[in-house]
Amino acid sequence: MAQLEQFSYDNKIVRNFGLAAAVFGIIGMLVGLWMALELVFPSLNLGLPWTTFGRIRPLHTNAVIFAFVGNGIFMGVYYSLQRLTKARMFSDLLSNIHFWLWQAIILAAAVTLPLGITSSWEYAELEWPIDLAITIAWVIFGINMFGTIIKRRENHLYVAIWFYIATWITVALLHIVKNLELPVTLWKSYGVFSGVQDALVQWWYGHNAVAFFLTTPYLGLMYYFLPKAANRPVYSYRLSIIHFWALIFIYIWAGPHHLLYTSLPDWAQSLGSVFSIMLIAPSWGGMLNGLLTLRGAWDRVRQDPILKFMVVAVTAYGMSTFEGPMLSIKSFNAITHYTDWTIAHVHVGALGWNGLLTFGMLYWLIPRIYNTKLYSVKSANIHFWISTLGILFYAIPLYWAGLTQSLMWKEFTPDGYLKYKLFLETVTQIIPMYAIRAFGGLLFFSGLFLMVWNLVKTMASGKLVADESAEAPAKVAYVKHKGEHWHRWIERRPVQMLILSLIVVAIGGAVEFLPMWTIDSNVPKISTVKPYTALELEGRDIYVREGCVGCHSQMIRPFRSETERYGDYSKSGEFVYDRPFLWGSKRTGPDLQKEGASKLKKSDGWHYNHMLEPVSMSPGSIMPTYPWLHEDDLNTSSTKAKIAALRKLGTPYPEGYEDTIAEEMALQAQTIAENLRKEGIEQEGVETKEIVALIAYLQRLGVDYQVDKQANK
Amino acid sequence: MYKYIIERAGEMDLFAIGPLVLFFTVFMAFTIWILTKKRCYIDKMSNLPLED
Repeated sequence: MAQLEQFSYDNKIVRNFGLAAAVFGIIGMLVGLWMALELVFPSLNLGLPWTTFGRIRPLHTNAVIFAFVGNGIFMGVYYSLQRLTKARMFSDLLSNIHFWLWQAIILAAAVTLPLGITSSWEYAELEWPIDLAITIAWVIFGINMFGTIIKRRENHLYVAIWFYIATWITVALLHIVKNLELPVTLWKSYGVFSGVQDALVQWWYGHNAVAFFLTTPYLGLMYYFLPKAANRPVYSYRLSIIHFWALIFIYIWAGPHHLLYTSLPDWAQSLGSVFSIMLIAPSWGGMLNGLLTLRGAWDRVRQDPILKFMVVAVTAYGMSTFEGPMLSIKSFNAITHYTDWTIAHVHVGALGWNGLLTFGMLYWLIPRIYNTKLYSVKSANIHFWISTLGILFYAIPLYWAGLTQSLMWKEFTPDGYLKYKLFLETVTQIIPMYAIRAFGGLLFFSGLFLMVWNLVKTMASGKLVADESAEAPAKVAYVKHKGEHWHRWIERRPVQMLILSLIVVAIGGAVEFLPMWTIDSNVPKISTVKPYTALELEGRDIYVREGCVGCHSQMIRPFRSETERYGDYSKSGEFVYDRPFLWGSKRTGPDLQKEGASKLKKSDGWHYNHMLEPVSMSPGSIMPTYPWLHEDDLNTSSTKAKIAALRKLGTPYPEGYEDTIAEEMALQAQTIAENLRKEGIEQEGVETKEIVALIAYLQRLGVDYQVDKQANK
Repeated sequence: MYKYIIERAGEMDLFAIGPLVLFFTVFMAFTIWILTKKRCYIDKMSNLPLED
């Protein structure tokens, strides 16, 4: 028997991450509530750019994913890893650097996103300097985690640690590949990939951000905290192993289900669908394993709010992982995609699975590290019911809204015309649902205050055990015995485990990407599709800055209901110069891919007035007003650098084009200004304003394709 | 119908069959491994979180 060693666990870092999770939970969800209300009362943006829906949507998603859930992950990992390895964290210094750097990144996101500094990629909106900081923070976390695993006193690695390892390596891979970008200025960059390839990389990343940031680390936490809270071992350790390998292997392939019926090649779409459906098996394996852990202890669930939170969290996980594969079936996706159904789906996961599990962990953990009891069990119970009701009030109206809107989009009259020609009709119909959703959000949000009050009172009634004493036998060198199973070899070696996890997840990415990168025929070119002019490019960057993609897609699917409404369905060749791609994933407003062409074309004056006061052109519209576009001068200081950067990335701007753009931009702006004057819009110096660049961009949308179609007639 | 499927089978390339074979292999390997583990090992692993 090895000698007992005395050491201590670092609880202070756990407390710090826990507090950060609670605080950023409040901030992230407050922004969410505000956005939800803006859809009912558009003037709630207060006429300010920084509080407008398009800009605060990424603030909300980033705050909830990376600040609330991110800090929740670190809280749970720092607590459980130390105990499962019987070792203090590798380095207190690294723990602290990790903590403060992560909070600094969140602060940077909270400043830059409302300023419109964004790459526009969903969940990867942050610009390149912040991306670098994230990389550093993640590497520090990795060194700290692996350092702890390597110096552990417990030979065996519990399955939760496998989940942490897979999370670390996959998030690293996703973050790096997704953010391959060429900086233009300190706060502007263009991605290496364009159009369809950008879309594929985006949803490989976006889907797996859900998988490996919101799911695998939380499954690891579930496998630790649920047995702890229930005080009984996991139902089936065997199932947890099968579930782990199947889950990480399958998840990585499923990304293209976000792009069904788009111009992504069909084989990639099918691959995404098939693997998404297969995902039910490991996901439900995990859910059942969690729920069955409570077999024989259900009487305790009635009394213990912590177990209640965990049970509903695991159930929400089961519901959203059943719904996800269903949404990946093409015929079902045809109805739900671009509607509020998607928003309901992600919130069952985010509020139910991530939210409630985080609350359960906090209620369990804080009293323990403060060596006291939870201040008010009753309050925690009330919090549980408010949250659960909040989720129902949030999700059900949005499912209803999604289905209603989709059916309205697709309804034809007996004569074969669209019944609801005006997109707006399908929006005003569901505004009451938006109001009920906001109420659900308010319920969930108010529960957070109860929790914070309860936790603060709990902390005040105890004292933080910053360094919790522990003892364990010193690690002895493992002697390989005869007939040892090969997996024991991997399991004792975290580095090999890391490499194997990397191989498993890299295979999926490689099969998806390689054909797209190497085979030119996957993106058929359209000869008339040309790069944007300098003014249009600046207009496009304004479109990106304002987050228009949050409400407007640029992807017409091959359905008659869409081609009737928007024009011919989108072809991959139309997007080859789009950096970033702007296909979007939600239509709160209509698709804009062919906004400047054919029957959709509006006059320059229409766009001018519409951006100034949307209801003046579309009565009842819930689009925000954009008066600053009419007041602010277009900043052209980096236009030349942008052109040069895009040329480096492969956009065929002729050499020396930069030197002629001043003249060309002035000419194009002048033409638009004259059009505006012809329509009776008299604004002095309008040709230098941002609105003109945006109009130039909107009027270009779909034009090149129209030219090609006419030429082929 | 079946004739059509069989005719098309020749066109199934690496991207269709490769992932399936890979997944099946990995899945079966870990399933067989874990199902052949001894009870005492499984019990020890299951109880790891409850030990501290």
